[in-house]
Amino acid sequence: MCLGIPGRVVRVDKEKRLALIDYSGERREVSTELVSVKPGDYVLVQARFVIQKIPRKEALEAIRVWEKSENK
Amino acid sequence: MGEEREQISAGISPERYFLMYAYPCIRNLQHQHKLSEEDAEILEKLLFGKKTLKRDYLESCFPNAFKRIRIVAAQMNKDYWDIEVLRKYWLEEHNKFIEAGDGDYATATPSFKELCKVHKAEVIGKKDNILSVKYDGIIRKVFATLVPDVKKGDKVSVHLAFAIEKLD
Repeated sequence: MCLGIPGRVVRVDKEKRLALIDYSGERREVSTELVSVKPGDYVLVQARFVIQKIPRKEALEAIRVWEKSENK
Repeated sequence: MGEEREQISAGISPERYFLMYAYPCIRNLQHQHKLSEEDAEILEKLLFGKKTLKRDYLESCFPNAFKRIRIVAAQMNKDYWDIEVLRKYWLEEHNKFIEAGDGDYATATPSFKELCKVHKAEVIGKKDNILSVKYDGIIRKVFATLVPDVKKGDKVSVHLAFAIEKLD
């Protein structure tokens, strides 16, 4: 599958249209130019842009599958 | 229909056509360690450059896509690098493989599957490099990087966060 893992929005800078995303501890700043988000949302990011919000349940499932495949 | 379709891809080699659709996946595959950073950079440069794209290199970078494309080619009784095969794969069959849970999609949740599909959308707005597109009642914003000349009212295909090509 060609999609990345979901991250959780930690905080949002509305003016700069940026969001800080947490990936199990690793944090990255991304643009919200395509999709607006709020803290707590789970999102998929591509090339430093949020491209989709993901329902929490699905996001946690995807993270679980991802961690499992990483530890293989 | 056949003739109109031909015009759209006029001047585009099958290799470039394939890579346009695979382009949005490159960085994601890299994050999943299925592509090296070096290959990701090479592929991005190749798409926007003028160098000839090597078939065996593309096949080695995207083995899963080509496994599926070979199946489609066999059904059509054509070579798997035939542009008609690639077009049918990306515009029709790709979504069916996802829906059927082929390969890694077996564990994908519904939102992932929808995003991975190729959607046929209408451009309803444009601002700089960002298009607003509409399909199935959904409005999304995607990048116009690969289709800089499209305008409001045009139909485009969408893969992940990118509009890929103008459709008739």
